[in-house]
Amino acid sequence: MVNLDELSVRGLRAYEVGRMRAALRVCLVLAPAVLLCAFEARTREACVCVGVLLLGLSVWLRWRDRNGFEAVSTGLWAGGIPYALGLVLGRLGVHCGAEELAVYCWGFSGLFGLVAGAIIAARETRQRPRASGIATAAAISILAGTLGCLRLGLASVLAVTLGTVVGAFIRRERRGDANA
Amino acid sequence: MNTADRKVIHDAMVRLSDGDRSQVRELLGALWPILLAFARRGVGHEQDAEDVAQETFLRICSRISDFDRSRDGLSWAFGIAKYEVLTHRRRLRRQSQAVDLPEMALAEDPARSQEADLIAHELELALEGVLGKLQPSDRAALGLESIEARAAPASAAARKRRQRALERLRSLWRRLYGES
Repeated sequence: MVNLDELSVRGLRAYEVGRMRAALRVCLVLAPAVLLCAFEARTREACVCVGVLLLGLSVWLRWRDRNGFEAVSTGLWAGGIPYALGLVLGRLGVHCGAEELAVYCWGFSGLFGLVAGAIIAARETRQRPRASGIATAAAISILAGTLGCLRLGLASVLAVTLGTVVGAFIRRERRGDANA
Repeated sequence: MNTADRKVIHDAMVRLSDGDRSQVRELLGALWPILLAFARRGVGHEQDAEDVAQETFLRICSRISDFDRSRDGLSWAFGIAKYEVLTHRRRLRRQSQAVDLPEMALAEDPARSQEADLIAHELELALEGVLGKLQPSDRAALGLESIEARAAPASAAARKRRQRALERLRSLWRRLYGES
């Protein structure tokens, strides 16, 4: 005769292991992204620091529940834009510390952040009309964007962060008005 | 099973995949009788059916984070149960093949051949003991005293002596070791 209480405990254990396995799959995407950022000697320590933070937060959110799981997916999709473009600009030699390029650097970084924020707000409000989902996805997106923009300088990271927050807020408000 | 029961199971699966850990117990309560009945039909043996149903439930818990909520939960669970039943049958088939192997191996078992050697050695010792109790004339008649006597062509008188010597040897053996 099967002891259902014991089976329930074993089921919960199997569930947690299964969730953790699913959560850890994000490492397949994030680990190469962190390595690519850490390739640059000047920003290696900062990349590793942000990368570990991003990995830990992503795994924990994906393990916790489905909302976290989807917020991480949205955040990574949106954050992929400032990440990739930040790497490209860094490769082209753009740096926010240089006087003649500072305006472009700020402008582009802010624009990437705005686009990322708008994507987050659009996806999250379509799936779940909860501000916490947008905030979580935005946090992930900012961390991912930071990985790409570290090479451009701290000003770029700030611009991406500001852009993401503003983009998400504006888009959400516009959707809210449209729904009303 | 009616539609309401089906919906209870599906809803428990959806909530569990959303991250509500308390639904493990609910899901077990609703799903266990169904899984057990399915396993009984697929396996036949009661103990094996319980094992298969348990394995199925643990597998469902471990894979629930990949559950597609647009699909029917019970059908998804039956898919896993079917796989577990087939796996169990395959395992049984392999075991039944493995049971035949020891019988084949027995013929070539070195431990068994050592045992046979030991028995043969004991028989030799016993025979030597019995032969030692024979009269020298009987041992000569059996050709045990010299190789030449054994190789020489046997006359009628010699064959008669050998026959008598063998009869005495048999009776001596029976007296010492019985009929066996």
